Amino acid sequence: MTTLTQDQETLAADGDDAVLAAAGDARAFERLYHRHVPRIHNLARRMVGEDLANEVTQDVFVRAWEKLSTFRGDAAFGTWLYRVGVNVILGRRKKLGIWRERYVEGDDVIGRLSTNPKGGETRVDFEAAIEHLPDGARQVFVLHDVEGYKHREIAGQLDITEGTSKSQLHRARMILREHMDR
Amino acid sequence: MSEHVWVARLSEYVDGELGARERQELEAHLAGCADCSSIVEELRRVVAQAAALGDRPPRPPVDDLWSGIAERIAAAPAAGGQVFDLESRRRGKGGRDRVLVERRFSFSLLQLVAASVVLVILSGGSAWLATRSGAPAAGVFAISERDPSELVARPVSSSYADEKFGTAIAELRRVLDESGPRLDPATVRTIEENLRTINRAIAQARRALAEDPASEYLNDYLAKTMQQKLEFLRETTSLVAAS
Repeated sequence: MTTLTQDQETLAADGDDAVLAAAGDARAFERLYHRHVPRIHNLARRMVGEDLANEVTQDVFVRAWEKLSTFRGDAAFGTWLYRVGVNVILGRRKKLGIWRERYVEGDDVIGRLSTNPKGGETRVDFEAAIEHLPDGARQVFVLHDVEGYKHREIAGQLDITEGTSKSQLHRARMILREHMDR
Repeated sequence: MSEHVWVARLSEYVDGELGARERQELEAHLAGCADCSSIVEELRRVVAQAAALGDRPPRPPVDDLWSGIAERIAAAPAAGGQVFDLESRRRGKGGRDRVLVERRFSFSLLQLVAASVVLVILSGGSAWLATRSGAPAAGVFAISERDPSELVARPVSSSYADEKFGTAIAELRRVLDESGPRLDPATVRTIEENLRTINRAIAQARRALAEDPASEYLNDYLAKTMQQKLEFLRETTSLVAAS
Protein backbone atom coordinates (compact mmCIF):
# COMPACT_ATOMS: atom_id res chain seq x y z
CA MET A 1 0.00 0.00 0.00
CA THR A 2 1.32 3.40 -0.94
CA THR A 3 1.52 5.92 1.85
CA LEU A 4 1.78 9.65 1.57
CA THR A 5 4.99 11.38 2.58
CA GLN A 6 4.92 14.06 5.22
CA ASP A 7 5.31 16.74 2.56
CA GLN A 8 2.36 15.35 0.64
CA GLU A 9 0.34 15.20 3.82
CA THR A 10 1.20 18.81 4.57
CA LEU A 11 0.33 19.87 1.05
CA ALA A 12 -2.95 18.02 1.26
CA ALA A 13 -3.75 19.47 4.68
CA ASP A 14 -2.94 22.95 3.38
CA GLY A 15 -5.22 22.41 0.42
CA ASP A 16 -8.01 21.22 2.66
CA ASP A 17 -7.67 24.08 5.07
CA ALA A 18 -7.34 26.68 2.33
CA VAL A 19 -10.67 25.54 0.90
CA LEU A 20 -12.31 25.66 4.29
CA ALA A 21 -10.74 29.00 5.17
CA ALA A 22 -11.84 30.52 1.88
CA ALA A 23 -15.36 29.51 2.85
CA GLY A 24 -14.95 31.44 6.09
CA ASP A 25 -13.61 28.82 8.48
CA ALA A 26 -11.38 30.72 10.90
CA ARG A 27 -10.21 27.53 12.58
CA ALA A 28 -8.92 26.14 9.30
CA PHE A 29 -7.09 29.42 8.79
CA GLU A 30 -5.61 29.13 12.26
CA ARG A 31 -4.21 25.73 11.33
CA LEU A 32 -2.64 27.28 8.23
CA TYR A 33 -1.24 30.02 10.43
CA HIS A 34 0.45 27.59 12.78
CA ARG A 35 1.99 25.61 9.93
CA HIS A 36 3.37 28.66 8.15
CA VAL A 37 4.01 31.38 10.70
CA PRO A 38 7.67 30.43 11.34
CA ARG A 39 8.62 30.98 7.71
CA ILE A 40 6.64 34.19 7.34
CA HIS A 41 8.01 35.55 10.59
CA ASN A 42 11.53 34.73 9.44
CA LEU A 43 10.92 36.64 6.24
CA ALA A 44 9.52 39.61 8.14
CA ARG A 45 12.37 39.61 10.63
CA ARG A 46 14.94 39.63 7.88
CA MET A 47 13.17 42.25 5.81
CA VAL A 48 12.06 44.75 8.43
CA GLY A 49 13.93 43.73 11.57
CA GLU A 50 12.96 42.19 14.88
CA ASP A 51 11.03 45.20 16.16
CA LEU A 52 8.47 45.23 13.39
CA ALA A 53 8.43 41.53 12.54
CA ASN A 54 5.42 40.64 14.70
CA GLU A 55 3.29 43.45 13.36
CA VAL A 56 4.22 42.72 9.76
CA THR A 57 3.59 39.01 10.21
CA GLN A 58 0.08 39.77 11.41
CA ASP A 59 -0.46 42.04 8.43
CA VAL A 60 0.61 39.26 6.10
CA PHE A 61 -1.87 36.75 7.51
CA VAL A 62 -4.71 39.25 7.54
CA ARG A 63 -3.98 40.07 3.89
CA ALA A 64 -3.83 36.37 3.07
CA TRP A 65 -7.23 35.90 4.69
CA GLU A 66 -8.66 38.69 2.59
CA LYS A 67 -7.09 37.26 -0.57
CA LEU A 68 -7.88 33.59 -0.02
CA SER A 69 -10.39 33.53 -2.83
CA THR A 70 -7.54 34.22 -5.26
CA PHE A 71 -5.66 31.08 -4.19
CA ARG A 72 -6.59 28.54 -6.84
CA GLY A 73 -4.19 25.77 -5.92
CA ASP A 74 -1.89 26.42 -8.89
CA ALA A 75 1.03 26.52 -6.45
CA ALA A 76 1.49 25.18 -2.95
CA PHE A 77 -0.29 27.26 -0.35
CA GLY A 78 3.04 28.02 1.33
CA THR A 79 4.44 29.42 -1.90
CA TRP A 80 1.36 31.56 -2.44
CA LEU A 81 1.47 32.81 1.13
CA TYR A 82 5.14 33.68 0.79
CA ARG A 83 4.41 35.82 -2.26
CA VAL A 84 1.66 37.56 -0.33
CA GLY A 85 4.19 38.14 2.44
CA VAL A 86 6.77 39.70 0.16
CA ASN A 87 4.14 41.94 -1.42
CA VAL A 88 2.79 43.06 1.93
CA ILE A 89 6.23 43.88 3.24
CA LEU A 90 7.29 45.76 0.15
CA GLY A 91 3.96 47.52 -0.08
CA ARG A 92 4.29 48.62 3.49
CA ARG A 93 7.72 50.08 2.91
CA LYS A 94 6.56 51.90 -0.20
CA LYS A 95 3.52 53.22 1.57
CA LEU A 96 5.64 54.69 4.29
CA GLY A 97 7.61 56.48 1.60
CA ILE A 98 10.95 55.62 3.06
CA TRP A 99 12.40 53.54 0.28
CA ARG A 100 14.39 56.10 -1.59
CA GLU A 101 15.86 57.85 1.40
CA ARG A 102 16.91 54.55 2.90
CA TYR A 103 18.89 53.78 -0.19
CA VAL A 104 21.12 56.75 0.39
CA GLU A 105 21.20 56.57 4.19
CA GLY A 106 22.79 54.14 6.50
CA ASP A 107 26.45 55.09 6.51
CA ASP A 108 26.41 55.43 10.27
CA VAL A 109 25.03 51.95 10.58
CA ILE A 110 27.68 50.69 8.24
CA GLY A 111 30.29 52.38 10.34
CA ARG A 112 29.04 50.80 13.53
CA LEU A 113 28.83 47.39 11.98
CA SER A 114 32.21 47.64 10.38
CA THR A 115 33.86 48.31 13.69
CA ASN A 116 32.25 45.41 15.43
CA PRO A 117 34.76 42.95 16.83
CA LYS A 118 35.05 39.71 15.02
CA GLY A 119 36.95 36.49 15.17
CA GLY A 120 36.53 33.00 16.47
CA GLU A 121 35.57 34.07 19.97
CA THR A 122 33.17 36.83 19.00
CA ARG A 123 31.41 35.38 16.07
CA VAL A 124 28.56 37.60 14.95
CA ASP A 125 25.44 35.70 14.07
CA PHE A 126 24.87 36.04 10.37
CA GLU A 127 21.16 36.62 10.76
CA ALA A 128 21.69 39.29 13.35
CA ALA A 129 24.17 40.97 11.03
CA ILE A 130 21.57 40.99 8.26
CA GLU A 131 19.06 42.63 10.55
CA HIS A 132 21.53 45.41 11.28
CA LEU A 133 22.14 46.27 7.66
CA PRO A 134 20.82 49.62 6.41
CA ASP A 135 17.22 49.15 5.27
CA GLY A 136 17.78 49.46 1.55
CA ALA A 137 20.78 47.15 1.47
CA ARG A 138 19.02 44.64 3.69
CA GLN A 139 15.89 44.43 1.56
CA VAL A 140 17.84 43.90 -1.62
CA PHE A 141 20.20 41.40 0.00
CA VAL A 142 17.35 39.32 1.46
CA LEU A 143 15.39 39.36 -1.76
CA HIS A 144 18.38 38.53 -3.97
CA ASP A 145 20.68 36.30 -1.96
CA VAL A 146 18.22 34.65 0.41
CA GLU A 147 15.00 34.57 -1.59
CA GLY A 148 16.48 34.25 -5.06
CA TYR A 149 14.81 37.19 -6.78
CA LYS A 150 16.52 38.75 -9.82
CA HIS A 151 17.68 42.35 -9.93
CA ARG A 152 15.07 43.07 -12.56
CA GLU A 153 12.31 41.78 -10.30
CA ILE A 154 13.65 43.61 -7.27
CA ALA A 155 13.95 46.84 -9.20
CA GLY A 156 10.36 46.53 -10.31
CA GLN A 157 9.06 45.74 -6.85
CA LEU A 158 11.02 48.45 -5.11
CA ASP A 159 10.67 51.06 -7.82
CA ILE A 160 14.41 51.49 -8.17
CA THR A 161 16.81 50.91 -11.05
CA GLU A 162 18.62 47.63 -11.58
CA GLY A 163 21.86 49.51 -11.05
CA THR A 164 20.70 50.65 -7.63
CA SER A 165 19.68 47.12 -6.79
CA LYS A 166 23.13 45.84 -7.74
CA SER A 167 24.96 48.51 -5.83
CA GLN A 168 22.84 47.92 -2.72
CA LEU A 169 23.47 44.21 -2.93
CA HIS A 170 27.21 44.76 -3.18
CA ARG A 171 27.06 47.18 -0.31
CA ALA A 172 25.29 44.63 1.87
CA ARG A 173 27.72 41.86 0.98
CA MET A 174 30.74 44.05 1.66
CA ILE A 175 29.37 44.81 5.12
CA LEU A 176 28.46 41.22 5.87
CA ARG A 177 31.82 39.81 4.78
CA GLU A 178 33.31 41.72 7.69
CA HIS A 179 31.24 39.56 9.99
CA MET A 180 32.10 36.19 8.60
CA ASP A 181 34.39 33.86 10.44
CA ARG A 182 37.71 33.66 8.74
CA MET B 1 45.80 51.32 -6.64
CA SER B 2 43.51 52.78 -9.29
CA GLU B 3 42.87 49.24 -10.44
CA HIS B 4 40.86 48.70 -7.27
CA VAL B 5 38.02 50.42 -9.06
CA TRP B 6 37.09 46.80 -9.73
CA VAL B 7 36.05 46.35 -6.11
CA ALA B 8 32.66 47.87 -6.89
CA ARG B 9 32.12 45.24 -9.57
CA LEU B 10 33.15 42.19 -7.61
CA SER B 11 29.61 41.17 -6.68
CA GLU B 12 28.61 41.25 -10.31
CA TYR B 13 31.64 39.09 -11.06
CA VAL B 14 30.66 36.63 -8.33
CA ASP B 15 27.13 36.51 -9.75
CA GLY B 16 28.40 35.95 -13.29
CA GLU B 17 26.84 39.17 -14.53
CA LEU B 18 29.85 40.76 -16.17
CA GLY B 19 30.31 40.69 -19.91
CA ALA B 20 33.05 38.52 -21.37
CA ARG B 21 35.48 41.41 -21.89
CA GLU B 22 34.99 42.86 -18.42
CA ARG B 23 35.31 39.44 -16.88
CA GLN B 24 38.63 38.85 -18.64
CA GLU B 25 39.96 42.22 -17.54
CA LEU B 26 38.90 41.62 -13.96
CA GLU B 27 40.39 38.15 -13.88
CA ALA B 28 43.65 39.60 -15.15
CA HIS B 29 43.53 42.05 -12.25
CA LEU B 30 42.68 39.32 -9.75
CA ALA B 31 45.68 37.31 -10.86
CA GLY B 32 47.93 40.00 -9.49
CA CYS B 33 45.85 41.44 -6.64
CA ALA B 34 45.66 39.47 -3.42
CA ASP B 35 43.32 41.99 -1.81
CA CYS B 36 40.65 41.75 -4.49
CA SER B 37 41.04 37.98 -4.71
CA SER B 38 40.47 37.78 -0.98
CA ILE B 39 37.35 39.93 -1.24
CA VAL B 40 35.98 37.72 -4.00
CA GLU B 41 36.36 34.68 -1.77
CA GLU B 42 34.66 36.45 1.12
CA LEU B 43 31.80 37.57 -1.06
CA ARG B 44 31.33 34.01 -2.22
CA ARG B 45 31.13 32.88 1.37
CA VAL B 46 28.50 35.51 2.11
CA VAL B 47 26.47 34.36 -0.87
CA ALA B 48 26.78 30.73 0.19
CA GLN B 49 25.78 31.51 3.75
CA ALA B 50 22.76 33.51 2.61
CA ALA B 51 21.65 30.65 0.40
CA ALA B 52 22.08 28.26 3.31
CA LEU B 53 19.65 30.28 5.42
CA GLY B 54 16.85 28.66 3.52
CA ASP B 55 17.95 25.24 4.77
CA ARG B 56 17.63 26.19 8.41
CA PRO B 57 14.35 25.40 10.14
CA PRO B 58 12.56 28.73 10.51
CA ARG B 59 12.31 30.12 13.99
CA PRO B 60 8.72 30.70 15.14
CA PRO B 61 7.81 33.99 16.84
CA VAL B 62 8.13 34.07 20.59
CA ASP B 63 4.92 36.03 21.05
CA ASP B 64 1.40 34.87 20.36
CA LEU B 65 0.39 36.58 17.16
CA TRP B 66 -2.72 34.59 16.39
CA SER B 67 -5.05 36.32 18.85
CA GLY B 68 -4.43 39.66 17.15
CA ILE B 69 -4.94 38.12 13.74
CA ALA B 70 -8.16 36.43 14.87
CA GLU B 71 -9.56 39.75 16.02
CA ARG B 72 -8.74 41.43 12.76
CA ILE B 73 -10.07 38.71 10.47
CA ALA B 74 -13.28 38.62 12.46
CA ALA B 75 -13.76 42.17 11.28
CA ALA B 76 -12.61 41.36 7.74
CA PRO B 77 -14.42 38.28 6.44
CA ALA B 78 -12.61 36.21 3.84
CA ALA B 79 -13.67 37.05 0.31
CA GLY B 80 -15.13 33.60 -0.02
CA GLY B 81 -17.55 33.60 2.84
CA GLN B 82 -18.73 34.37 6.31
CA VAL B 83 -16.40 34.13 9.28
CA PHE B 84 -17.22 31.59 11.87
CA ASP B 85 -15.48 29.77 14.63
CA LEU B 86 -17.30 26.65 15.65
CA GLU B 87 -15.25 26.20 18.78
CA SER B 88 -16.01 29.69 20.01
CA ARG B 89 -19.66 29.24 19.26
CA ARG B 90 -19.69 25.96 21.12
CA ARG B 91 -18.19 27.71 24.11
CA GLY B 92 -21.11 30.13 23.99
CA LYS B 93 -19.25 33.17 22.64
CA GLY B 94 -21.51 33.59 19.63
CA GLY B 95 -24.21 35.75 21.15
CA ARG B 96 -26.89 34.82 18.65
CA ASP B 97 -26.62 31.13 19.55
CA ARG B 98 -27.23 31.72 23.21
CA VAL B 99 -30.92 32.08 22.52
CA LEU B 100 -31.05 28.68 20.93
CA VAL B 101 -32.60 25.92 22.93
CA GLU B 102 -29.86 24.19 24.88
CA ARG B 103 -30.64 20.73 23.61
CA ARG B 104 -27.68 18.52 22.91
CA PHE B 105 -27.91 15.76 20.39
CA SER B 106 -25.65 13.20 18.84
CA PHE B 107 -25.75 11.39 15.57
CA SER B 108 -26.87 7.84 16.04
CA LEU B 109 -24.10 5.30 15.88
CA LEU B 110 -25.63 3.99 12.67
CA GLN B 111 -25.51 7.42 11.08
CA LEU B 112 -21.89 7.94 12.02
CA VAL B 113 -20.93 4.50 10.82
CA ALA B 114 -22.70 5.13 7.53
CA ALA B 115 -20.89 8.42 7.13
CA SER B 116 -17.58 6.82 7.94
CA VAL B 117 -18.15 4.04 5.44
CA VAL B 118 -18.82 6.56 2.72
CA LEU B 119 -15.68 8.43 3.63
CA VAL B 120 -13.55 5.31 3.79
CA ILE B 121 -14.68 4.41 0.29
CA LEU B 122 -13.97 7.87 -0.97
CA SER B 123 -10.65 8.07 0.82
CA GLY B 124 -9.61 4.73 -0.59
CA GLY B 125 -10.19 5.98 -4.08
CA SER B 126 -8.49 9.26 -3.42
CA ALA B 127 -5.51 7.49 -1.84
CA TRP B 128 -5.04 5.68 -5.12
CA LEU B 129 -5.31 8.96 -6.92
CA ALA B 130 -2.84 10.53 -4.54
CA THR B 131 -0.12 8.16 -5.63
CA ARG B 132 -0.10 10.02 -8.90
CA SER B 133 1.71 13.28 -8.30
CA GLY B 134 1.43 16.50 -10.26
CA ALA B 135 0.04 20.01 -10.28
CA PRO B 136 -3.64 20.68 -9.71
CA ALA B 137 -5.89 20.13 -12.70
CA ALA B 138 -6.88 23.18 -14.66
CA GLY B 139 -10.45 22.03 -14.70
CA VAL B 140 -12.43 18.94 -15.54
CA PHE B 141 -15.95 19.37 -14.24
CA ALA B 142 -19.11 21.13 -15.12
CA ILE B 143 -22.54 21.35 -13.61
CA SER B 144 -25.14 19.28 -15.42
CA GLU B 145 -27.57 21.31 -17.47
CA ARG B 146 -30.31 18.80 -16.65
CA ASP B 147 -29.78 18.98 -12.94
CA PRO B 148 -27.75 21.83 -11.45
CA SER B 149 -26.93 19.66 -8.46
CA GLU B 150 -25.21 17.09 -10.63
CA LEU B 151 -21.58 17.21 -11.57
CA VAL B 152 -20.49 15.80 -14.89
CA ALA B 153 -17.05 15.25 -16.34
CA ARG B 154 -16.19 17.92 -18.83
CA PRO B 155 -12.92 19.68 -19.65
CA VAL B 156 -13.93 23.13 -18.53
CA SER B 157 -12.89 25.46 -15.76
CA SER B 158 -13.43 23.89 -12.39
CA SER B 159 -14.20 27.20 -10.74
CA TYR B 160 -17.94 26.61 -10.92
CA ALA B 161 -17.59 23.11 -9.47
CA ASP B 162 -15.30 24.50 -6.80
CA GLU B 163 -17.91 27.09 -6.02
CA LYS B 164 -20.51 24.34 -5.75
CA PHE B 165 -18.40 22.45 -3.25
CA GLY B 166 -17.58 25.61 -1.41
CA THR B 167 -21.27 26.42 -1.18
CA ALA B 168 -22.13 22.94 0.10
CA ILE B 169 -19.37 23.08 2.69
CA ALA B 170 -20.28 26.61 3.72
CA GLU B 171 -23.91 25.56 4.11
CA LEU B 172 -22.96 22.64 6.32
CA ARG B 173 -20.73 24.87 8.36
CA ARG B 174 -23.49 27.44 8.73
CA VAL B 175 -25.87 24.83 10.07
CA LEU B 176 -23.22 23.46 12.39
CA ASP B 177 -22.47 26.96 13.51
CA GLU B 178 -26.07 27.62 14.40
CA SER B 179 -26.44 24.23 16.04
CA GLY B 180 -23.09 24.43 17.81
CA PRO B 181 -24.26 24.73 21.41
CA ARG B 182 -26.57 21.75 20.96
CA LEU B 183 -24.07 19.43 19.35
CA ASP B 184 -22.14 16.78 21.13
CA PRO B 185 -18.43 17.68 20.92
CA ALA B 186 -17.59 14.18 19.69
CA THR B 187 -20.05 14.64 16.85
CA VAL B 188 -18.54 17.96 15.92
CA ARG B 189 -15.08 16.43 15.92
CA THR B 190 -16.26 13.61 13.67
CA ILE B 191 -17.79 16.05 11.23
CA GLU B 192 -14.68 18.21 11.29
CA GLU B 193 -12.48 15.21 10.57
CA ASN B 194 -14.76 14.09 7.77
CA LEU B 195 -14.68 17.55 6.23
CA ARG B 196 -10.91 17.45 6.24
CA THR B 197 -10.97 14.01 4.63
CA ILE B 198 -13.31 15.24 1.93
CA ASN B 199 -11.13 18.19 1.09
CA ARG B 200 -8.00 16.08 1.16
CA ALA B 201 -9.60 13.72 -1.33
CA ILE B 202 -10.48 16.64 -3.58
CA ALA B 203 -6.93 17.95 -3.52
CA GLN B 204 -5.47 14.51 -4.22
CA ALA B 205 -7.84 13.89 -7.07
CA ARG B 206 -6.92 17.20 -8.65
CA ARG B 207 -3.26 16.32 -8.51
CA ALA B 208 -3.90 12.97 -10.19
CA LEU B 209 -5.92 14.59 -12.94
CA ALA B 210 -3.16 17.08 -13.59
CA GLU B 211 -1.06 14.19 -14.87
CA ASP B 212 -3.69 12.81 -17.12
CA PRO B 213 -6.45 15.37 -17.60
CA ALA B 214 -7.83 13.64 -20.69
CA SER B 215 -8.42 10.31 -18.96
CA GLU B 216 -12.08 9.45 -19.39
CA TYR B 217 -11.93 6.96 -16.57
CA LEU B 218 -10.40 9.46 -14.17
CA ASN B 219 -12.85 12.15 -15.11
CA ASP B 220 -15.84 9.84 -14.73
CA TYR B 221 -14.52 8.45 -11.50
CA LEU B 222 -13.87 11.86 -10.03
CA ALA B 223 -17.19 13.28 -11.18
CA LYS B 224 -19.03 10.40 -9.50
CA THR B 225 -16.91 10.70 -6.40
CA MET B 226 -17.51 14.41 -6.13
CA GLN B 227 -21.20 13.82 -6.63
CA GLN B 228 -21.17 11.31 -3.78
CA LYS B 229 -19.39 13.79 -1.60
CA LEU B 230 -21.92 16.47 -2.36
CA GLU B 231 -24.70 14.11 -1.41
CA PHE B 232 -22.93 13.18 1.78
CA LEU B 233 -22.55 16.81 2.69
CA ARG B 234 -26.20 17.48 2.00
CA GLU B 235 -27.34 14.49 4.03
CA THR B 236 -25.18 15.49 6.95
CA THR B 237 -26.47 19.04 6.76
CA SER B 238 -30.04 17.77 6.75
CA LEU B 239 -29.41 15.53 9.75
CA VAL B 240 -27.96 18.36 11.74
CA ALA B 241 -30.62 20.84 10.69
CA ALA B 242 -33.42 18.42 11.53
CA SER B 243 -32.08 17.54 14.95
